[in-house]
Amino acid sequence: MLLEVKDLHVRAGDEPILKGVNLEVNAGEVHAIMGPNGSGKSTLAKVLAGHPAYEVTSGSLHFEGDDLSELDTDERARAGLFLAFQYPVEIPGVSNAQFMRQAYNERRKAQGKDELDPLQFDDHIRERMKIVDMDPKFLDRSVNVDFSGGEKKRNEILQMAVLEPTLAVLDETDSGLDIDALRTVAGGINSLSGEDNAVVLVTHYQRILDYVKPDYVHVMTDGQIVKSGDKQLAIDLEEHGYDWVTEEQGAA
Amino acid sequence: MSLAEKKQETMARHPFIAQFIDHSNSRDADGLPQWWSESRTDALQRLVTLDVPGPKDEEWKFLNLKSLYNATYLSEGAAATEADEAFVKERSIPEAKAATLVFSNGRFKPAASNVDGLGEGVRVTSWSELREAGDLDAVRDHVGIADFWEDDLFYNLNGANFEDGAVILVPRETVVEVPIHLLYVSDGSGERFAAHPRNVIVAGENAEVTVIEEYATSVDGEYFHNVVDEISLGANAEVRHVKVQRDSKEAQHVARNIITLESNSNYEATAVNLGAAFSRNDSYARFDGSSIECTLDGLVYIGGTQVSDTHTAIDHALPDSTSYQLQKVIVDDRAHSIFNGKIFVREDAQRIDSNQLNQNLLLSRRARVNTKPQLEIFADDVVCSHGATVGQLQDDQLFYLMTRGMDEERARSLLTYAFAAEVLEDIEVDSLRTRLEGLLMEQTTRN
Ligand SMILES: Nc1ncnc2c1ncn2[C@@H]1O[C@H](COP(=O)(O)OP(=O)(O)OP(=O)(O)O)[C@@H](O)[C@H]1O
Ligand SMILES: [Mg+2]
Repeated sequence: MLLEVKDLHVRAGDEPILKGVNLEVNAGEVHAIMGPNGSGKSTLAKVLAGHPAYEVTSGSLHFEGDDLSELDTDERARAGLFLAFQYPVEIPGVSNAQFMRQAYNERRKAQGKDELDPLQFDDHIRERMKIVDMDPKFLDRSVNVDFSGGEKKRNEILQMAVLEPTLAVLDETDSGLDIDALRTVAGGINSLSGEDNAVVLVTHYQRILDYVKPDYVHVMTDGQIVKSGDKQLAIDLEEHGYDWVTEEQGAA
Repeated sequence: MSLAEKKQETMARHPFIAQFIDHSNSRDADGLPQWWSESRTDALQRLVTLDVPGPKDEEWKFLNLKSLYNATYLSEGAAATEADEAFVKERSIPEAKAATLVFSNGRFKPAASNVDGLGEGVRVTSWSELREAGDLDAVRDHVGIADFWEDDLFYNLNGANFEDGAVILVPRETVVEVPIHLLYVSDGSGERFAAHPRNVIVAGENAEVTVIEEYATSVDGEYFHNVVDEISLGANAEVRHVKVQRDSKEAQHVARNIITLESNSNYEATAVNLGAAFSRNDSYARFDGSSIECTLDGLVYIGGTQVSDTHTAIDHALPDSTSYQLQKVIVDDRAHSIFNGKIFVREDAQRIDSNQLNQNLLLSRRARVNTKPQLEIFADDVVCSHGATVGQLQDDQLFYLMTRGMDEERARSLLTYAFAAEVLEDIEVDSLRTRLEGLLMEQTTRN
């Protein structure tokens, strides 16, 4: 199993946010997590990445059998866990190329492979940029600075393409993408996922699921995954809204 | 009161000042042209009336200069050493191979220097060399040009004591293709000394030159550099000036830079302050014409208990000029940085475009910053922006980098580097820029 989340409770300060999340992800699978605003989807994503603002109060997180609570954010990343941010961070003064090369080499080192020098990396990244149809001019620009919303999202998937993670958690990568960009980005995600890795998509729209076909769809409300199903669940949600799930919950 | 009596009195009040009066009096006045001895006397006369500046003075707020004031110093002549050859080689700048002036403990070292084929009429020399050649009149019209510093203690200490320093004279219509490297090497292993370099840079009408002024230490120690730079740009001249201050972290460095600018000239300065226990770097740019462009950028990166203070004044007296100023400051440990940037836009100075930004990055909780951007506008048709920020490394940026596999130390160093690198980007001498970037990278990783 790649990821195992068991009865996860998480607080930010005194505020309980996740209230018993269970999730299992195996290699080769695509999961979608949907749910209303503020239900805790991004919190789950950030907790997986080890964000310092959140405290795990009970439950457990395992990645490829390793207890994640023992790994720092950077160690998780080097171990093959990737988070595409809902709001990618701007880093003035660090060029996209420099940033990606550092990240790439950190991962290579962890895998016991040779690092690439700037020239070698340049060839490599230009190749990867084709996957998300990104203009090489973005290499010289500061990371995410003055990128449009859609360009930032593309840049996240480019990082995924460069780092080739075992588990990619993509937090609303589809939000803010125009129709063509959505198709490109979805194509990128598909070409990067295979037998040995898995993708968790956090999304509000069933649209992306037409391109990236999920094996499982989960609904999160108020810090819990309250319903899981297959792709049909996303279609039902689109039609009936989240109230339908909560009502069903209440009825059950 | 006679001068001697006044000196007695100063002696009692300020041994710091008095010792430099003594140094001055014991300097060799043989064959000194009259204008020079007069200017020395002027400086001495002002010195006996001056106090050492301290926290009560607006321009010296926040500073505790006891360790500077309470020390006694040898005059640089008594602390003469040869420049460490290997060290000079290590610091040499390949682009400036044919235009390097080396000074050791404040004294010009012809054997370690090299000036060759810089073009007709271009003079790259030193005060001591000019004096030896009986050619001091060449520089006469270019010294003592700004009364702005008249009441400044350090300016007058320099005036009463300077004997050496670089003299760079670029005649009109002349472009010096290679950068000129002034390398001040200090060896602090002996007794504490004080040196008062006076650097004169003159670019005639339509002339162009790049000057790298570097202070470095081959052996750490306590010494006191008290520098005055006088820089004049003729009409349409272009001067790029990079100052790299890497004096010993036990040393004191005070500098006064005077820049006078004629119409259509362009002065571009980048001051990098990394060294010295205490450094004070002041620049005064006077606009004597219109359509001038002046850039005073700076990078300060200090740690430990270092104190660095930068004061600048950009004085727009006439219309249609532009000034830029980006001062980036990184303060670690218990270090303390002060910035005061004045911009005057006088009544007749219409259509001025002036930008000033001071950004400070605090790397430790005990680090300290005082900043005061100061804009005084007396004209109505101007575009001015100024501001200051003080911040720390941002947690969301650190987290982002760490989710990409960089450990915290690496992430911190990359962000610190990114903060500072912008100032170095504009340095056109490749090897110097690369070296400074390397140095910066090294320093960010060490912290
Ligand atoms: N660091 C924090 N401190 C306090 N409250 C927080 C913190 N992070 C998240 N929250 C709160 O936790 C709840 C869940 O937030 P989260 O960002 O996980 O929601 P989400 O499901 O991703 O929502 P959206 O669909 O709008 O992106 C929200 O009410 C949010 O305000
Ligand atoms: Mg969210």
